[in-house]
Amino acid sequence: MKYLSAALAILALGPICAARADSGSALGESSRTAALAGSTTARTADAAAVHSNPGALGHADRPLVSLGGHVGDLRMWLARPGERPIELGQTVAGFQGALVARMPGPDWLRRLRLGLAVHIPAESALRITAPPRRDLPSAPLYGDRAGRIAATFSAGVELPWHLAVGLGVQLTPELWAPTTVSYDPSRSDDPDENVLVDLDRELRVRGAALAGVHFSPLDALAFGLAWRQAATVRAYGPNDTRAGPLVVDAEIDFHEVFAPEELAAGVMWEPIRRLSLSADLEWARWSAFRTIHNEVPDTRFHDVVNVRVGAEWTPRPPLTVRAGWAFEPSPVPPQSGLQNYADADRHVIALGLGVDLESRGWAPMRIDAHLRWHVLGRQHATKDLATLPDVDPDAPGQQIDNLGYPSFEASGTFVQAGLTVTIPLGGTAREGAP
Amino acid sequence: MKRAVGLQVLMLLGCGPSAEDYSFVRTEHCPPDCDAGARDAGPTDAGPPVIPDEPLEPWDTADAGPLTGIFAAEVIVTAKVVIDIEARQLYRIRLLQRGTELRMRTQACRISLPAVAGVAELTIPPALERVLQTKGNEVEGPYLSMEDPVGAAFRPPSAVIILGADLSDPMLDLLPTQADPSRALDEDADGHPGVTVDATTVLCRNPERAYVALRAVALLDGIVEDTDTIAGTVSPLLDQSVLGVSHNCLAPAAELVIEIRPGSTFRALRVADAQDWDGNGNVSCPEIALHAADLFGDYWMGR
Amino acid sequence: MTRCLPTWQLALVVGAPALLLISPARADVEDDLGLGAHAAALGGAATAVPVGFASLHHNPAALSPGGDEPGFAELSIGLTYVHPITFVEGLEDAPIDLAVDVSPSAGIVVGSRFDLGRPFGLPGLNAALSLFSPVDEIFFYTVHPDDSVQWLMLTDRVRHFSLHVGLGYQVTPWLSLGASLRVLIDLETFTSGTVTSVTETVDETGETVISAETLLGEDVTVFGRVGPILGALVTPVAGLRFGFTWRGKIFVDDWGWTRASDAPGFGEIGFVHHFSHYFRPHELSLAGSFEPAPELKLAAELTWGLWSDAMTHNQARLGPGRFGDTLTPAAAAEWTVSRGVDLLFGYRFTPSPFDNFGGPTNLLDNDQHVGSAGMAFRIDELTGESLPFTIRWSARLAWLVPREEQKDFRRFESDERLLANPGYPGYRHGGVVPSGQLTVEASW
Repeated sequence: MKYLSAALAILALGPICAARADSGSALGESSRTAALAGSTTARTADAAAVHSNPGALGHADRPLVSLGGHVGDLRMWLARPGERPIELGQTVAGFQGALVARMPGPDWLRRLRLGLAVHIPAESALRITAPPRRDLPSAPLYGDRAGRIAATFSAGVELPWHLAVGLGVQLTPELWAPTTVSYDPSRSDDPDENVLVDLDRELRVRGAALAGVHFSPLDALAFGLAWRQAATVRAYGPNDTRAGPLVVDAEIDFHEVFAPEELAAGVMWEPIRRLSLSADLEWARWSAFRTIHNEVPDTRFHDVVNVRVGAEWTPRPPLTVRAGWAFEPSPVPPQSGLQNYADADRHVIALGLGVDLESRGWAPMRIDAHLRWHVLGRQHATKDLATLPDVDPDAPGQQIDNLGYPSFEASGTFVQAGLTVTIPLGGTAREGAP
Repeated sequence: MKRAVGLQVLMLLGCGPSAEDYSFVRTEHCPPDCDAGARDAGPTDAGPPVIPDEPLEPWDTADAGPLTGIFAAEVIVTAKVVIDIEARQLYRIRLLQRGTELRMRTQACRISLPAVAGVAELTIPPALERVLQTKGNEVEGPYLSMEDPVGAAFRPPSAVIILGADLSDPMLDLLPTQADPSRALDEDADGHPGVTVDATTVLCRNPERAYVALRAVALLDGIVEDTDTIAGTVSPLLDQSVLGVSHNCLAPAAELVIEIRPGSTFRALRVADAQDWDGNGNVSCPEIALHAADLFGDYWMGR
Repeated sequence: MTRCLPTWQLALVVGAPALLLISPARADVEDDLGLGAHAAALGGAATAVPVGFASLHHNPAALSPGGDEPGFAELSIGLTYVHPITFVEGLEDAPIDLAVDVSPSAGIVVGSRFDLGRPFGLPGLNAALSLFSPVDEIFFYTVHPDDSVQWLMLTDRVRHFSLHVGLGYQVTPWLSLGASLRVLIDLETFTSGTVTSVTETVDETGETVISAETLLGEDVTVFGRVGPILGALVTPVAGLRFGFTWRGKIFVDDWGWTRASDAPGFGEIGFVHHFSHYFRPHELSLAGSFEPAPELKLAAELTWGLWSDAMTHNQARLGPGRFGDTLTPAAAAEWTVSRGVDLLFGYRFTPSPFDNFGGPTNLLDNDQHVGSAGMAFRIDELTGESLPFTIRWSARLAWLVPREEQKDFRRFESDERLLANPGYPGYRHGGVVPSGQLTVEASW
């Protein structure tokens, strides 16, 4: 009985984009965050703050619940000269939910806000693909990053002088998986019944820390600073097989970077009533990237600085329109070595629409929708023979079986749509709250 | 009444696991002094060797050269079956030498099939050995490089032995397979295609049997070291096809791929009265097998 | 011999509904620990007793029992700890090796219940969600052959996350209905390997070993899996309630294969695996609760569990007779001793659904007598301040009725298999499982 997708199918599906998300899932932000191209470090008025800046949570003015969904289509290809392209695309869909609550009780306790954001992919809770071959083409900024469950807890505290600080933790799993397989022929005449498997599986919880500061000296001006620790998933353990004198003592050690360490600074400004502009600069430490086999790549990834800008305008309540643009340089270096990672500089263009039913007294909810595009440049890679292994040293010459040899090109696009419903749980919205 | 029925319904619904529904698999077992792990003794456990009477071939040996006689030859085949292994074979070679001309009859006495100890081992049972010893290959030609045999090169043509198949061309025809058993021959007359070999594998609870077709080819290239010794290299070919198995646990063994590696050798040693167990003037294959350990070392002890 | 309830226990089942509460038949996070201190203190006998977000599991209809403030919200955070103390002694002083030790476990329970209907103009529609997670792991499971000596229910059944989401709706003042989903996972694992080299070596015992170096890869997918829970709560008169809950079967299905290619000589070799974890059968609970006085609440419960449909970790159904359906009685009481302070008590008898009957399996399980107690402190009532918090604690002690298993040669194909069985000639097992919870609830 797999009812999960059906049970949650009340929510529309939206595409998945790269970059951060309310819950920390790559491609699982709320529609408002997506429509603003992720420029939300200095914004407060929705559950995006749970992950983008826990400090902004401290300035959240009312508790709320948000539920959303998204679906996206990644079209990515990699091709060697004269060959048909290898398709690296995928369809990714998911659901996200968030809860922001203000603590009840005396004034000092009411300064504390708590937030929880969860993202659940539509098809599976988690997918890790670690092929035996090191040179299999892959798109590291999409791939399994888009298909994992993510959860973030945050707490923000409202301080004097228009300041708020916050801390959070994004849960990341680590799988300890020792396996022993043996064979006892004396148990049965059926060989299948003689295979004995002893294994443990322990999915441990690790946390990636978040911290943030939000400073709002004026109603129309706010600054935000947020730091997010890298979120990685690891699966490891011995994998031993014995059948008579045959022994295979192997080990798995898989490592997936779901989000690099990031430091983001943002500003939000309302030049006129009902129009807010925001901009973020975000440094991402991709240089710490390790391959799925927990190895340093032939050529290290490099750190990048992403630029994000967004605008939100309420021409006439209840309608709000949003637009955003981001430039995300690719952290993937020239692919001249063993690996074949496909990625290129990326422009993100987003549009969004919001309807605030509460402002008209129709219903206490806000519905937001977004469309987002990723447009990747074209990647060119030429292999350096000196870095490629000879698969048959006994044969004369150098035998190369690398899947990117002698060169390849890659590019792609991504389209995503999504819908988010936000339900306030109490209090009154401040009109035009950012 | 209704309450009693209700109680019984409750009891039926919630009565937990039931030994009455769990059937026994046997009612008898070994008495206390029975050794449940004992196995019967095999056919070679006791008794003197039985050597069938096999007279010498009636060749005209007048004016025969010094190399004439019966030789026991050991071939050591180097192969790779998962790991590097050795497989040894024992042959009876009768030579009649006149100048550079040799009349040569070759019989296979013992063939050990390539195996990986503890993983998969195929052995020739007595019934198949009897079949093997009826296989002979006789050729005649200028196989010596000079009339004085000592120091001469010894290069006879390939010797081919086929077991379990009826091939028009023993060298070139494909062996029968499970998919196409049309050329299979039940040479050991046990009702199964091909010939039957005993098989033990890491996956099988008990020793099982494989029904196979075999082709063994040996091309010798040696030097006559002295009138009693010929040694050199061998270019062997070992081809086998599994036509059936007695249990599916043998399936992985049937997939074993044998790769013959360079470096196979042979050594032929003259045998005579000392090895003629029954004193009939002929040293036959069983007599050579009986003395193999003395001739070629401990490997043949008990085989 | 058919293992049914003894007569005196049957009498309790039939003749004392006021004091009988039955917890769901078998061990799991919700039953062994309880979702929060409130349900734990009542021994899990909460089919007819509203217990906040924990009603997601016991009776989703009790999420909306009536009497809640419009627009309310509740949030609960709690800590749990369980420390099994068990013994397994071989008969005739035979050494018995446990495949895996039973270890203590701590967990966190987070739950929330809130008014969902107010924004939609549907008063009486409440939603809830709960999450239990062990402190330092999301899940742990261990798999061993069924003839390895191991506890059937005590090793990993409380070491996994448990997520519930659900809705309750008060249709009429006397009828509430509810539905919730219990969320688990399924696992699909494909392991592929390439043999890169094979060498022959001699190990420390002098045995020849053929060692293969292998490059491994894996493709792991974790799917969601849900089990439905449906409930109804009937309140014919104030102070009297009847609850009905059906819980659908659920378990973690774990399947896949392992293949190594390029194995010299063999080509491709491998095996297929299929396991199940945290199995819960279909369950039906019937309960009643009664308030003889405003400060006293009594409850009784009977739960039938379809354990005859169960399977072991290795997805073996073992055949007829091994697993059997169970009927479990239980009782609970909740007493407001003074303003802002409640005392809670619970008891249940949980029969074991499984027996090895002297056969090859060595899965240990015992009947259990379970007693529980707890207290609740409502801070706003105690202090008179606007502090809408409630602090609860609970303690539970399960006594595993000692059991003896003696191997029967008639259940084995041969004496060789009998003598090689890890549980031969037999063993005794039992113990106690104490656990506790501390919960803080906030409401607004």
